[in-house]
Amino acid sequence: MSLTQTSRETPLAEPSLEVRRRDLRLPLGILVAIVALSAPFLIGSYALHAIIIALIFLLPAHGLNLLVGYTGLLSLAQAAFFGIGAYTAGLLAVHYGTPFYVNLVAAGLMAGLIALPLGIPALRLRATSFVMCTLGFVIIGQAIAKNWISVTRGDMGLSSIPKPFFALGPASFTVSGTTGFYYLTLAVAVLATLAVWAIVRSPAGRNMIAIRENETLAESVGVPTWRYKLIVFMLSAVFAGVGGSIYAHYLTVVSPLTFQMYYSTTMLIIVLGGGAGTISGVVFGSLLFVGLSEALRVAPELRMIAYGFCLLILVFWFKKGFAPLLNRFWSFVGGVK
Amino acid sequence: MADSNLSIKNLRAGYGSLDILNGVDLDIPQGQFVALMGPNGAGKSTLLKTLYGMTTIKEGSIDWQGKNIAGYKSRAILGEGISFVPQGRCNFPVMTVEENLQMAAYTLRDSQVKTDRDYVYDLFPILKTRRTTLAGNMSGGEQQLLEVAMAVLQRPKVLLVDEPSVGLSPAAIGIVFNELLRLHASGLTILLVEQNTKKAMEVAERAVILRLGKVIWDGQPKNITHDELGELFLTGKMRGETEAVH
Repeated sequence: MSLTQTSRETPLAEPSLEVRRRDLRLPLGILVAIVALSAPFLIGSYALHAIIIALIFLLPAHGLNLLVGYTGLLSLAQAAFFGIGAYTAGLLAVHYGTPFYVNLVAAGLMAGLIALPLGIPALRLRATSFVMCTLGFVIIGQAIAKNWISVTRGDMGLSSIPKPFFALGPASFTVSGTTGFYYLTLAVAVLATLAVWAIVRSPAGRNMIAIRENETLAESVGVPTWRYKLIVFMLSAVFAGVGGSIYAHYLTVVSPLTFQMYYSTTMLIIVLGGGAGTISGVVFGSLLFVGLSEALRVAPELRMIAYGFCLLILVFWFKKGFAPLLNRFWSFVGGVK
Repeated sequence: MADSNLSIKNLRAGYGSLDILNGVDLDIPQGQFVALMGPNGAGKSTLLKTLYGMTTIKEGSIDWQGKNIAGYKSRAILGEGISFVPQGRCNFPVMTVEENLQMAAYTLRDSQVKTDRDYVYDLFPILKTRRTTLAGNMSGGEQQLLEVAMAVLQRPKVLLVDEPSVGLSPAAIGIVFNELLRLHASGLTILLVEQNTKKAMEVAERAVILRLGKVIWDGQPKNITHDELGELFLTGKMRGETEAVH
């Protein structure tokens, strides 16, 4: 019936010129979700550990992406806020035995609050000076963690951080084991990804892009660029702090080494390598680079050489990260020719 | 003077401690098309930036509609009805034409944005056809028109335009200048800085020549030849004169 009707309406119509294959985006999405949910049963515990680390690093990377990818501010401070979040969560859990979600929120808030007085002077600087200043935050953070022994226990670090536990009224349960932790981290990572998506899709996201593209012009059309940059700087710290809190609970140890440049650069590599200013690129980047770094542990003597080599390939052949490749794949899956 | 005049008195301004304008006096009646010309470093662009609140003002006043707007921030000056089209590409290349216009409407109320956007599309129909094109993918001339459109979106009374012809083909320059003439015909005061003196003299009703941060010649373009202009640019004096006028 409907077939005859269609042919009557357009008797001589050729099939649409645009040859579209079937749109497979939804099935692919479902497949990815199924794989993500059943990963603990598909892969070994070491691989699962690598993915957990990747998902933890995804959080500061998301924050950094808001700053670098969407607002155009290159920051190396992410490890400092990651460390602040880790110590906040660790200290709360060790001294007060607070539930996981309290530590997580507190870690995010603490990192965001500390970013305020740091951001005010730092954001007055431009380009390389700003980068140098943010680098300083990591070094200062590590020095404080090493020397404020009465609180941080210095180089001994905070140990025996309890596994995350949830308390709702009288009921409580503890997440233990890699599988449980995987689902917990996955949930936080998914929520964070949705949060970033909501931010960049909002009018605020467009104003951030305007600042990245042409700050002077953004200012001249009336965007309060200074306030925006400060808020995004704080927001990126919140993401890093949340990541730090999960990190502390996962490793159960926090030491001054949490504040290290290597972490800042890893987060930057995730963002730039995955594709700054794209969300899927950063998700892909965190899985690829953290996963790669872990996977290469099978050949420890060649690990950093291989990692460096991968970065070289990236710089030469994928200047915009993997995002363009992902986009092409996505439209291919979507059936666009 | 009448309120509708833009009246600049003894303006001394520059960047930080460096003075570029060394006492500029200029009176511009509403609706006049003025070309600011002069050799490199004369302070033409600086004068526009100063009028738009982007430099440090040391001395002097800018009287506009009964107020001295010297020292106002750019956004406040925009609110007073003065818009600025900076030199070089100044749109958001990764945004569409429509999004660029929305950004330009940042300070307007949401309810007003649509009418003002439609007003701009009526003024520049070509932009309407390019609505969903990324600004960065358009030709230089189209981008320049977009930038002018972004500046007139807020319906200013005065338009400051800094070297719109830079990097454009002769055909595109013609289109941009025609649009400027059309805006002028609708009653807009235009202050144009232009290196292309031939083109500027064709469209403007008044030429003001700056040299070393001062006005050295002021009059109708028909009263000065190109040779005299060159002489003025180089020496600051006219042939046969001992002192430049004004």
